[in-house]
This record gives sequence, structure tokens and C-alpha cells, in this order.
Amino acid sequence: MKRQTRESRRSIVRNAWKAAVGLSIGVLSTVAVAADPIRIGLVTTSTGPGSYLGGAEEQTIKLMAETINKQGGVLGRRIELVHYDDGTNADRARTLMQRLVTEDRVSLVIGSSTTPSTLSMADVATRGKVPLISMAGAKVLTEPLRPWLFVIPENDVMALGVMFDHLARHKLTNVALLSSTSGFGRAAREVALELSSKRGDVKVVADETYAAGDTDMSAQLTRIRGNAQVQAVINLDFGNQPAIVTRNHAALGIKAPLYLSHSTAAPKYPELAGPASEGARLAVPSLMVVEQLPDSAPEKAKALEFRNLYQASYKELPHGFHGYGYDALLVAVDAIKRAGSVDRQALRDAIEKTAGLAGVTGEYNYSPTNHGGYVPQSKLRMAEIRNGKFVLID
Amino acid sequence: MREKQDMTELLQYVITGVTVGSIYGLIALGFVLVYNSSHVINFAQGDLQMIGGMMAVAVLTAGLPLPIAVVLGTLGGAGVGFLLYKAAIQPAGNAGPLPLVVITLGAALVIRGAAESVWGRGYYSLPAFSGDEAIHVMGVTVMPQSLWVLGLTAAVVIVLTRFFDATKTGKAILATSIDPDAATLMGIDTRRMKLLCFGLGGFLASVAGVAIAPIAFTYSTVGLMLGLKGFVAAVLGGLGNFKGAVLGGLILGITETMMSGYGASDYKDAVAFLLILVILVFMPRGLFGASGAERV
Amino acid sequence: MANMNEMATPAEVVPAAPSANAKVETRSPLRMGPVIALGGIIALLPFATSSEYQLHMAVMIGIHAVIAISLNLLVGHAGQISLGHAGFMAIGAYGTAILSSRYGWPPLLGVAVSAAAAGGLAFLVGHPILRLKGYYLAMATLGLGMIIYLVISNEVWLTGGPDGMSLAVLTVFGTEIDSAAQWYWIVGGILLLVYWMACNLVDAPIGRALRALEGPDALAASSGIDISWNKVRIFTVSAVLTAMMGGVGALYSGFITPKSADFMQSIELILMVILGGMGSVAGAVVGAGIVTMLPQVLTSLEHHESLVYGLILILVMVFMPKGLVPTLAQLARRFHR
Repeated sequence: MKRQTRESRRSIVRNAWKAAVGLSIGVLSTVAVAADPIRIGLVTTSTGPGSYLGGAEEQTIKLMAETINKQGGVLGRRIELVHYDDGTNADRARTLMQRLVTEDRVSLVIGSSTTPSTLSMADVATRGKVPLISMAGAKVLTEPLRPWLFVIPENDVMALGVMFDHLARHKLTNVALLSSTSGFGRAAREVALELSSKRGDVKVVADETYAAGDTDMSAQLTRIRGNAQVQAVINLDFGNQPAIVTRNHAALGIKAPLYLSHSTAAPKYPELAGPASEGARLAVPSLMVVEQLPDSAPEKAKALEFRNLYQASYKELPHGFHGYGYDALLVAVDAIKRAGSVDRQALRDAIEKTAGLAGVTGEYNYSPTNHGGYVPQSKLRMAEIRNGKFVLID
Repeated sequence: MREKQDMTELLQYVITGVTVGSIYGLIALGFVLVYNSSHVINFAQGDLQMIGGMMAVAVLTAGLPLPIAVVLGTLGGAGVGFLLYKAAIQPAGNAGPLPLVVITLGAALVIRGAAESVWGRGYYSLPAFSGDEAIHVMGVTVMPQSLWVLGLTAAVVIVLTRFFDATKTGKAILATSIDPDAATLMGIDTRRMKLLCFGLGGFLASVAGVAIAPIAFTYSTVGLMLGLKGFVAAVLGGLGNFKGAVLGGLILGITETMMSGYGASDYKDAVAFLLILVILVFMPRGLFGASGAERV
Repeated sequence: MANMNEMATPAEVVPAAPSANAKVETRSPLRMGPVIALGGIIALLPFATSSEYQLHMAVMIGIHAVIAISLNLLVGHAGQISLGHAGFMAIGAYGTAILSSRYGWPPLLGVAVSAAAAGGLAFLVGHPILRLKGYYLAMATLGLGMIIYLVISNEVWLTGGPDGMSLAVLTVFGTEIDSAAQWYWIVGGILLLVYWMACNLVDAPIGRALRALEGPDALAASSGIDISWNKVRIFTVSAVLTAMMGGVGALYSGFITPKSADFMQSIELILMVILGGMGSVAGAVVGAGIVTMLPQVLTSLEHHESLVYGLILILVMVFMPKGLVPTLAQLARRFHR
């Protein structure tokens, strides 16, 4: 009886030993395969006030990485995303960047969606020598130039330039600014004031602000309405508040047309603001008006393809921030292909040599002196809301 | 001419301020009710407000008419209020105010997280109860929805006052808040009264949520700022005083709007908080705290 | 006795907790035990890990732990709640950043001066606002914190506004201090020192005076304790320590945003104290560890993070309303018997 037990115990041990050997061989072989994927870090602002941007970028990048993997990956290897959400908190973004660089050992990081988070991560990128591709668009990200940081979207200067060109062309030269005191609104206001004094053809005659979270901007708009000089109202913000501004603008019966920031360009905007948004004007990325683009536009084919793919999987139309997500991954993948490796230094150098790369929001060209991506000519176009749709205008 | 315009501007600010202030007041009322019954500051109050708005949007999207959506939205907030008490506050027993505050903070996160799982993080709009046609009176623009907000707030205050003055349940809640032990001896089920207050608080918050959704939209984090403002209004009015809560809300709303209107929107919140600091220093129990001892 | 306008007086805010803590804290007459234990942990931890990220987390925990200890002196021992401590943290951070990068001051002098400034502010406002009770005091401190936050967000010319501002790498005697490992030892040292001081303070006459502040004012006054002076003093000390760590944190991270001053940050600081256990110095350290680590641990949950975080808060408070350390200490004692 006892012997039998010992016997069976011994056999169990022997079997376990065999199993362990077998398992470790199995594990070793999977490790060999699993070591293969290209690890890309992704930090987005998917919760908190910036979730409007980050949520779109996260969805897009995940979808595109999956699509690329289905088509055989990059350099014959799968893309493995290590994704974290910074919750609109720059301190957190920094910690997550630290984690991606030292713990997750990624080859490159895409992120984050907002300027403070990106600035906070850029420092870790420089120290850890990891290329960082940001989807935030403030001027401070590229001036001064940071060797390891590359920026995807239009920066405020270019976006507002398109709007100011339009205003000047249509002789709406006295404008009122109405900006949010959030990071984005504040930065955009600075740029608008600077641009106005530099160009001289569009004059700021009123300058109002409101705080993030305000639910009614009638007070500020009443003041603007009382200013007889004002020929156009420019709202600088993103999220839901521009829609409130739009409704207040309509309710107060203000005649001066409303211009909004490029960051407002999303199908959700006319939906939220309702009929009040009729006639509102804003600079939109190509993705928003892809059907109306001339066939000669270099980004048209890719944008159309992406839009259809996105619509098929998420049952909604993508907007500019989806485009930034797409292009961020595109720039990364393009660099990996050209570098032929996942070495961090090689990737940085490859990104810096990106030239004539057509994305869905525009064409990308980086150089040792320009980490801002775009060629000086902006790819944004002016559109007006008509019947709840974005329609290209002159 | 200039004077007339100044007057119009001022009136416009007052209208805007009163609308926003009423919303703060409604949320503050919820704070006061819960505080009275359980001595807890319910930091999930703002999120209950969000539930109201989101629930109404969801019901509307499901194809039911607006009035039903509005009613179900407010009941949804009340339901989550009940649930909060049953699932988290009651089990904690006599944990003491600070742990209970942490529980409500946790509940706020849970409610927000659950709402995000169900409805996502997008912005939603609810149609105005009676159209978007602005009313112009003496150069002042009033949205019909603002009138709804004002009317609902007034109705809530009147009904609540009646409820506490004239009904048995109302008096039982009062007794619970004044002296729970004595109330228990009198045969009052104090737990039920607390449950009722959490539910009622949720109801009030979601009335605010449904009423403001057509003006300012609704989204998962809308309760963060509004909840905080409601808390400020409640303390300003002297925690534990109904009329104080509503007045606190109105004062806060009007001060904010005036500040923005007269060109200091950067510091309008700061001035509101400074105002509160000064008021508290001179009136340590808020504006209406001391005299409202026997009012709820 | 308690009518509904009477906000729970501090005694009601911390029912039962004081006596339990008194037991916990006076159990070992020599205060060196816990200090040596903490010192051991700090000394040995780097041998368990070499990862830069893990050291980074340890530094963050250390910074938060010092702040939690100082806040705990105020909340746990003196029974005075503050929902505005992030404001003091930000004064330290921004003071250091502004003095060093805009005016070229030596960074450490910047830390000292901004900590002193935070202390001065606390001293000035302490007298009027510490007369307030319970939630009214909570409201006043919240207001103070919000005002600091708004000034930092709005004065772009000085603070960089919502986009934040950068700090240069700290150089001490010609050595650049920029690795997590270096900061680990600095922060670890500060933590140990503050921990030791807090443990002793709790037992010293002033500590007993502080605990008396939790009870009815009349009682404390009758035992010859100058209530308002003691409250103001502890509020000031707490503000100085918090601002100092704000400055150290800013130098460590090299980049700060107004986010560090906002209401949620104040809430997190209070959470550290309450989760760890009010009135327990060790609890503050444990609480700081949990609140700092939890979001990192929960990242894998992706979109359900806040849901689970909230559930954890609720469960801990339902089952351990006195906080982790006092509850576990109580269990351990019961088990021993």
C-alpha cells in the first residue's frame, strides 16, 4: 500500500519532470516567436477633459495596428501596442513614459494627445533616448526643437493662419476673440494675438475668455454684441463648449459670423449645436471633407480608404483627431520600414528623414531643423456648416 | 443710449446667472438633504446629476418621447441614490464622516466609470423641453429652457418646504436629523429616512441634470465641476438650510456671470472662492446657518 | 445634541479613532522600532529592483508619504481637515521653479524660500479659518487651494499657465542629480527623518496637545492648551513640509503643471491619510504607497480603471473604516492574544 503510493508519487514526479521539460521547450519556442513583435508604446488622453482627442486617437491606432498585423505586419513582424491612458494628467503621463521606456522596453512611443502631457513625456524621451511622436499641436512643442520629439498635427499658427487668410479675403478684418482659459484655448489665443499684430490685416477688437466647465457664455457674447466694430467672432476651444458658444451666439442674434478652431471639426459639433451651427466656419482637416477634395489632392486616396475602414468598424465617421492618430502610426511604421530595425537611435534618424509621406491629414516632411511635420503650406481647408454638414468654401 | 445698453447687459447677466445659479442650487439641495439625514457630504451628488441627463438621453434615443425620457431620467438619478445608500453607506454603518466621505468619492468614481462603460465618453444633447426659439424682452435674450430651469427650481423648493412642514414622513426626516436616537425611540425607522434622503438627493440632482442638458449638454464627467459648485453653494448657504442652499446657488451663479461679463472671467472662480472664504470668516456657519437651526 | 446645522465637530469626525490610535501609538514606548523598520525597508529596497521605473515609483511614493505624514498631523492628530493641501504643494513646486529658472536662484534655496512662503501663508490664513468647524473648514481650505490653483493657471507670464513649466536638472556641488537612484536616497532620507520626527511629535507634550484638539474645544482649553495657537502651528508646519516636498518633487520631475494644485490632487492626499489610517504615522506611508501605486496597477484594466478604483475605495472603507494600518494592527493584537 505504502510502496504503491511511493511508486505512484515517483511516477507523478517523473511525469511532472517530463511535462516541465516539454513545457519549457514549448515556452522557449514561443519566446522565440514572441520576441519578434515590434513594441510600440502608446499614451493617449482617453479620460478626463482631453478624452475627446485621446479617445479618437486610441481607437484609430488600435484599429490600424490590427489592420497592419492582418496584412503581415511590418518587416515581417507583428506590431504590439503597449497602451496607457494619462487621464489628462501630465504627471501621470511622465510616469507612464518612464514605464514604457524602462519597463516595457518599447522601440518608440506615440503620445500624448495634449501639450502638457507631451512636454512632460518629452523630458523622459530625451533622457532615455526614445523617439516620441506627439499628437498634440502647440507651437511650444517644436520651438525650441527637441531632438527626440516629433509632432504630427497642424500647429496653432498654421491652423489660425488659414482662418485669418479667409477673414482677410472676405474683408472681415475686425474680429472678437472668445477663448477658453484651458491650455488649448489659452495657447491659441496667444497665437491669434501674435498673428494679428504680425499680419496687420486682421485686427482683434474684443478679447473675451471663459473658464473650462462654464455652461453659458451669453455674458461674454453680450459684450461682444455690444461692440459695433466686431465683424466676426472667433471661438478658440475644443470639446463641448464651442457648441454652447454656437447656441448662445445664435440665441443672442449676433450678426457677425462665428469662426471656430480647427479642433472643433468633428461630426459631433453640428450634431450638438443643432441648427444654431448653420453658417459657422472653421478650418477642417482633409479627412472631414474627403469627398469634396479635388482628385489631385495627395492625401485623398488614403483618407478615403481610412474613412471607409473606420466607418466599417466603429459605425461612425472619423474626424481630425482620428486622422492625427492614423498619421502618427503611419510616420512610425514608415520610419521602421526605412530603418529596417527597431533600434531607437536608428528610428529617430529615420523619422527625421521622413519626406513626402502622404497621410490622411496632410503630407509629412521632417528635417533636422523641422520636427513639426508639415510643409509650411497648411493642409487645412475652410468649411462652413450647411444643413449640418461640413461644406468646403473659398 | 449707452446707459440703456449697460442696463440690457446687466439684465442679460442676471438672467444667465440666475439660470446657472438655479442648477447649482438644485445640486446644493441634494447635498443638504443627505447631510441633514446622515451628516455625510455626498461627493457623488454631481455624478447623480450626470446620471439624470445621460439616462434621459438614453431613453430618448431608444425612441420614447421627451416627457417620458425626462421623467425616467430623474427617476434614474433617484434610483442610483437609493442604490448608493443600500450598497455602500448602510453597510459602512457608523464609520464616521470622513470614511463615509471617501465612500461617496469612491461611489462617484464607480458611477462615472459605469456610465462610461455604458454610454461612452462622448457629449450628448437633449432637446429643449419647449423649443429653441429665444424670447426677446427689452433687448434681453431668454431661452425657454432657462425658464424651465427657474420654474423647476421654484417648484422643487415649494414642494420640499411643504413636504417637511406638513407631512409625517417629512417630519420624521427632520426628527432623524435633529436626534437620531430620540427619533428611533419615537418609532421612526431612521435607516429608511436616510435611504429616502439619498434617493431624494439623487432625484434633485438628476432634475438639475435633465434641466441643464439642453443648455450645456451632458457627458460622463459633467458632474465633476457642477458637483463642486453645488457643494460650495450648500456650504455658502449654511449646510442644512434649504433656502440657504438655493440662495447660495443663486449668489454663486450671479457672481460668476457678473465677473465674466465685466471682463474678469479668468478669475471669476477665484473671486467666488474668495467670497466664500470671507463669508465663512465672518459667518462661520454660512449665510443662513445660524438662524436655520430648526429648519432643515 | 447635534442639530443638523452643527457640522460634526472634529470629535465626531473621528469617532473612536483617537482612542484606538492612542493604543497603537503608545504600544511601543521607544519610538525607534518603526523608524528602524522603515529605514531597513528604504535601505534594502534598491537591492530588490534595479528598474528605473520602479525606483521612480518609489521616489514618488516617498514624496507623497512625507506629505501624507504632514497632512496626517493635521487631519489625524489635530482633527482639522484640509482639502487644499495640493495648493501648498504647488506653492513649493512653482516657487522653486520660478525662483530657479526665472530668477536664477540656487534651486535648493528656492525650495527653502517657497516652503517658508507657504508656511507664512498658512500662518496668516490659519488664524481666521481654523476657527471654522468640520465641513466649513473643509470648504475654506478647498477655497484656498482653488485660489492658488487658479492663480497658477492664469498667470501665464510667470507660471507658463496650463502648459506648465520646466526646471533645470538639480546640480549639487557640481554633481548633476538626475537619476531616479540618486533621488531615491535623497527622498528616502527625508522620509526617514520626517517619519522619526512625526513619531516623536505624537508622543511629545505637543502631540498630546494636538490630540486634545480633536475633542471639544472647551475640554482642550480647560486642560490649559492654547487651542488656536496649536492649530495654527500645526497647520503651518504641515504647509511647510508639504510645500518642501512640492519643491523637491518639481526638481525631481523637471516639469510641472497646474494639475499638481487642483482639487483632485488634494483629494488624493486626503485619501492617503484616510486609507492608511488617520492618526497613524505608518498608516500615512502605507496610504501614500497605495494611492500612488493603485493607478499604475490598474492600467491594465484600460477603461474600467475608475470603476475598480472606486470599488476599492468603497470596500476598504466599509470593511476598515479606521484605515488599513490601525485595523491590521488591531487584528494582529487580537491574534497575538
